[in-house]
Amino acid sequence: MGQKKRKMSFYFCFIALLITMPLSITSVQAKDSMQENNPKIIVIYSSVNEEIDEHQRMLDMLLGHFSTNITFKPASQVKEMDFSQADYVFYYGQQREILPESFIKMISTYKGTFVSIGYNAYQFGERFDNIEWISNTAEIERITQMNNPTKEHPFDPTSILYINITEDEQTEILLTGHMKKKEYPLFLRKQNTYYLAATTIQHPLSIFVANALYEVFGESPAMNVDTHPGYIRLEDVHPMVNPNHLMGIAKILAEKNIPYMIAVIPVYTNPVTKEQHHFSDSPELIKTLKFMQKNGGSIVLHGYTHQFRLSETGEGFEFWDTENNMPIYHNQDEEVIIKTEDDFNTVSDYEQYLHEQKTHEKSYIEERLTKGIEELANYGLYPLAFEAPHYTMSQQGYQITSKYFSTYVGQLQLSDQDWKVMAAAPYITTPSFLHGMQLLPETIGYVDPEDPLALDKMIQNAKEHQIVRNGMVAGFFHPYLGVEVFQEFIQEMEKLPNINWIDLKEMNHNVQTEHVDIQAKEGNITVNMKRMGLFMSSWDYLSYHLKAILLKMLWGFAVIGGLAVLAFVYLTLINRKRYVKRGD
Amino acid sequence: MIEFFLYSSLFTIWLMLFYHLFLMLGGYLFSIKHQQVNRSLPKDDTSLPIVSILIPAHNEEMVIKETIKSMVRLQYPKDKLEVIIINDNSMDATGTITDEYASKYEFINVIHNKPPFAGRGKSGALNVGLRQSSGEIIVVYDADNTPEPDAVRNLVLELQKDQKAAAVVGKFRVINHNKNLLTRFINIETITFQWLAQAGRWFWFKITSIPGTNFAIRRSVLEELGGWDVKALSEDTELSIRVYNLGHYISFIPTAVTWEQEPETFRVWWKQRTRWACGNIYVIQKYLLRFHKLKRKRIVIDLIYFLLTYFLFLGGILISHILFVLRLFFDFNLSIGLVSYVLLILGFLLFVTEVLLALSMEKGQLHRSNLFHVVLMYFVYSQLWLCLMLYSLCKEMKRTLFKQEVTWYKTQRFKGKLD
Repeated sequence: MGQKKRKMSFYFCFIALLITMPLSITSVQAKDSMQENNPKIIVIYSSVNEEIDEHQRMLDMLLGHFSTNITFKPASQVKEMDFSQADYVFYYGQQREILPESFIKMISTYKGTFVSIGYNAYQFGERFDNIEWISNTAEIERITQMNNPTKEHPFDPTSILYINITEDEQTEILLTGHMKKKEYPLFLRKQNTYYLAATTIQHPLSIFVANALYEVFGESPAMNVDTHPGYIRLEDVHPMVNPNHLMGIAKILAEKNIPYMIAVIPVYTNPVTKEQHHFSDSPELIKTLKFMQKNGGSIVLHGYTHQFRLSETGEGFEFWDTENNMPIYHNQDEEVIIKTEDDFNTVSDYEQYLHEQKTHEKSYIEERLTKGIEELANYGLYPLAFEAPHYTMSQQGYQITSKYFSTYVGQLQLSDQDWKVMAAAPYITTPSFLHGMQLLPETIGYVDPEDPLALDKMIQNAKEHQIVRNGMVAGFFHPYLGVEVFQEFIQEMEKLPNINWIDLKEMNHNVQTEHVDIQAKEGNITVNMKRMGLFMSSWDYLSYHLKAILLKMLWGFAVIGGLAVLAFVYLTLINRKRYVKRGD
Repeated sequence: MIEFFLYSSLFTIWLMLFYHLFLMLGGYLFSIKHQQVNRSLPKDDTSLPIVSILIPAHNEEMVIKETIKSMVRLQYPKDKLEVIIINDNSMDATGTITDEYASKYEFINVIHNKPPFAGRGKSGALNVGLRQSSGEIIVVYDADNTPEPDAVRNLVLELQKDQKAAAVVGKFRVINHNKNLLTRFINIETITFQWLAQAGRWFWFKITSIPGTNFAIRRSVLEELGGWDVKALSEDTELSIRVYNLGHYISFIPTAVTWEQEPETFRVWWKQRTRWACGNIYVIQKYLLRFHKLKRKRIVIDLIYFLLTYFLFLGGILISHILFVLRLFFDFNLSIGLVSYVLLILGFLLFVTEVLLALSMEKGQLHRSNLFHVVLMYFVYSQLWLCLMLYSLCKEMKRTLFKQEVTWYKTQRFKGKLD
């Protein structure tokens, strides 16, 4: 009994030791902010079946830079009270529709800033009496901005709506489209009423619209002298990555004093053997990652395995089933039968089916995010943000993720029907569909070893995003390409003017699971871990620490053993001498 | 799971290695201390007690003559000496040879042990001898031993000097060590055993175990214990434990030397060692379960040592061997890395240097060919030991399960030139 007690108390001492281990990490650097006065924005829209899709979400992303308070409503459901507290009203006519009388009346009496986009604006009557609606089709291949009308920005032909301005005096043209020698007014203002003559706001249009939105929100757009936030992200760092490559890159970045992000995947799945490798299998990598975390690197969780079925880590999609182009509504080896409402007898059966699917996806994502955060935190690696593998995730996925992370890195999948519909905002933003998460968009792509022009394209994209005030310049690099390729890449990046490299630690982040709470602020990471709970949740977490201690003990053994060998050799020699002396 | 095995095997192996390292250091320190103490033994014979030397002999015609001759050569007052040869049902010429000497020398006596009293093994024979003896101190030699002339005298003087010691153990050396590779290995083994285990334990814990030959024990103690345990296969280990349990201790003196013949063929070696190993396992079984009943807890150290050697160390080495072999074929993706190789090499170096240190304490044993033998021993002899232990464990387990009777195997002797 006595011995048992002693053993128990040893165990508790050990746990206590782990709990009191130093938990904060410090670093330097500062950063600027945005949405200071956080206006309330309401967006009324006309769309197919009144559903929100990629079009509305794109607008959401562009507006999210100016406010965290954005509400979407279909035109048929707008009430007077929706207007009462709105600082800005947007109407997005993505689909042609006869608008309700009441809504038109509300707009005509609304005194605040009103922005109308796309179709149906003619129905607002006198608010747009300066516009002549000509046709629904026009193509442009160049854009000029009001503050720099001589600088033309060319791109592939893009469709817009064709309008003319009937009254020049009060109307300002913020953006003008060009096709050959013909000019098309694209974004215009008359006092506090704006009109954007386009039904979709895709890239590259989004770049210019984003910049012009500064006018709407009472600030002046880019003048080419302001600084741009930017980041470099080391992508797909999983347990089988070569630590030497990583360390080589880390040292270059530390030397240049450039903060950066590391997209870390905690588990590597071998596609052939199906074996799983964790970072605990590679102490060298953990050491490297800790070095990076201390020297300018910030960790971003990049999924848990970066694969769903049996594809290789880093290749596969984790939160989207690409084979069926749908969210993860089933287990990996389950046969997928896609059912429609017609397959069910009653509506409630169908709803039940949908509910089950959502529940499955929810627990799947929750499990992987929890494991990802806790596993890394257990190693002393603290993720500050999340990036979904291949940027794919459903809308529900973003909602679930927002319970764990306050920051999202990369691009956003805008449709629940097709993963390929994805986009980045040109600047940092908090769209409403991220449920409070802040997006640090990736805007310039990556070093593709297959493409000899990859670097040029990245620079091209970077320059494009520097058109926008606060436009983000962010790209990523796969460390397996090696230190030399990275040298080339970083040299090109450094040539870009006016970039302020983001240090995640300097911003506010909050990462949470049941057992782990990570807060980053002003260069400090504060971690609260319920170690007891963590160790109870999986033996692996405790065993990692035990192994580390055991390994140290074994090295201790080796030292004692080595000393003993030396001592024995010495004593043997002394004995031999003694016999020689005695003449035996 | 694999990692768990690896770590636990490394830990047990290294804990044992540390214990041995510690013992070896004790052995070395003892040798230094003993050199200083040993210079002052009295020359006076008048106070020497009567000594009975018991020599159990069963079919020992090949070696018994030399043994008796060495008795004659003993530098001990013959009027205080009584040599009792227990001819235990020999089928060969042992009886006639011993009778011949008994008629020539008065201090030599022979007991011819015939059925139904014979064939009870060494313990039984010793008990018979004990009953017939009259000495105050009992000394035991195996029938293949040729003690040096001052061996008995040194044993007895030590007992006289140290009144608290119940028994005193001398050192044994291998007489046929140059015969072949096996006897060379055994020679190195016995030297290491005595400096590491005997001297080392004596120095640190005041524990030695009776090796079955070349020891002296007080008659009073033997009587108190009721003689030898006839069931015990290794009567020496068993006796040691009982002596300690009485509250006495056994001391070790390296100056009482006997030379004994060791097995010259693998088959004989295997049989002899199997008997020892089974005997030790019997002792562990017997005392481990009655652990708490042992009055003297000091001996517990030894029991634990046995237990660790026979089960944990053996297990550790086995697992480590298996993993080593498996790792040649499969990649377990173990995170342990470099340290396991460092420990592997250090383990080997520790073995070599420990043995060399022990050899350096014996005159003329530290030479180049022995260095080669020590290295070879690690890869051959030590691995054989592993097989032997496994075999003995199985055998003893079988015996316990089927409640088989103990049969005593007598080590086969070899006729040889005695040097």
